[in-house]
Amino acid sequence: MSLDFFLEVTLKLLKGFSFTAEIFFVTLLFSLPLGLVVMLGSRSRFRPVALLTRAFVWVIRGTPLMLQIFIVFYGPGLLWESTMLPRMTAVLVAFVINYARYFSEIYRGGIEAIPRGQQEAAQVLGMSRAGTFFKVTLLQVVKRILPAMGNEIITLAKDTALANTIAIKEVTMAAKEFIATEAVLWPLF
Amino acid sequence: MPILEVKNLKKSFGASRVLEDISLTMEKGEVLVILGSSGSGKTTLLRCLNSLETPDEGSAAVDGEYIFGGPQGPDSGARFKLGLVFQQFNLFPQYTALGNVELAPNMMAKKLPDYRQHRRDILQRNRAKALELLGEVGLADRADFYPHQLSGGQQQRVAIARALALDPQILCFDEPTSALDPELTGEVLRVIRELKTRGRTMIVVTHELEFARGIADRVIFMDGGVIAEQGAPEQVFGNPSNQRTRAFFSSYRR
Repeated sequence: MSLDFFLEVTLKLLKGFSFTAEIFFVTLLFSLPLGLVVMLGSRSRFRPVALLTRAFVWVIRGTPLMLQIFIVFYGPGLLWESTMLPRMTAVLVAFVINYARYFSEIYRGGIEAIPRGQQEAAQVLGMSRAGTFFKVTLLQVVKRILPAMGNEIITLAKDTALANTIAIKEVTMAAKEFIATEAVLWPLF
Repeated sequence: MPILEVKNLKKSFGASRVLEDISLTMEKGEVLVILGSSGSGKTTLLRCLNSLETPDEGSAAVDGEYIFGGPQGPDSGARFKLGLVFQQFNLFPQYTALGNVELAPNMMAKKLPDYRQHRRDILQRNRAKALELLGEVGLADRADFYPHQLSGGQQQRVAIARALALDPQILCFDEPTSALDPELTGEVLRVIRELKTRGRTMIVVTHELEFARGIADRVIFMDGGVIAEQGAPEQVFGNPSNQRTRAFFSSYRR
């Protein structure tokens, strides 16, 4: 095998990896704050908002990410015969929605795991709601959700491979293509 | 004028009526002990007074200012005239003992009009006062310890210092020793006795009958959401007139 060949493979994979990285970072960038919004919605004291958000979370949670990608990508075209979203946009939208709801549930769990006594103690000491959140609750929530967030982010890195189902040439797709054309497997290792 | 005046306080949770028409008054410097079996409404009474529950009916006023049920609706300022020490301490785990005590005063200080100019002085004063309070509960040498590094008894003493930091006119205790190992209750009870010698006005809900008898100026026995009996400790402990009170004491002496 020549060095040229090795370089060619590496470049192809790097090109694929750039898509993978794009999906990963863009999803994180948007889903972390969007998760916060969804969490606030599901904890809203206005019942309809809370119910609607929880129903949405329930549906997204109960369906596979791959299906969601299909729906976002093919759905508009099939239902309204409108133009389809670009592949990358469709993937990003599906990922952001899916991960936002994961993160929202992690946030919610973190907040609900704080004993009620903490809030009551702050209230009796005359702290405002905002003051209680920033000075008492926030740090405890961060401590509680950090491990779960770590897991989720690792899962996201692996889930990016699902983008190849609508033909985005991320790293696994690039590798598959190469295997098919060159009929060898080993340079990939 | 009484320092605390509660009139016709009623509270239900759903169908269960927890407090039925509670009225009581307290004088400054008085230590009121509330006894009663669990479910009799003692804790709910304290929680209503500290605005952790919203009463259905009735009023309460501290030093003439309404906590709830006043003619002009709730006055948020008056409720800080009461302090509450919880059964489960509820210290903030991310702050040291000192941090727990000075947090609320420091946050209150931000509302002062001259906070910006005198920030350093105010914070220094709060710190000095917090250290003094920790000294009062015998924990001056534990100021930089985090709650998880302290024993239950020490945590509860920090919680007492924290409640005192806002200078409450009435300090309430909700079963302050119920979450402690028996050998740790002594140090907490000692601190409460010392507070009495300094003339603190206190309401104590407790199951420590010996302690209650020693510290109380007046005892209230609650049963089924009403005050079944009240009077001087000698009378309530020595010669209870109410059937339920007698049953309560005899179940303890078994």
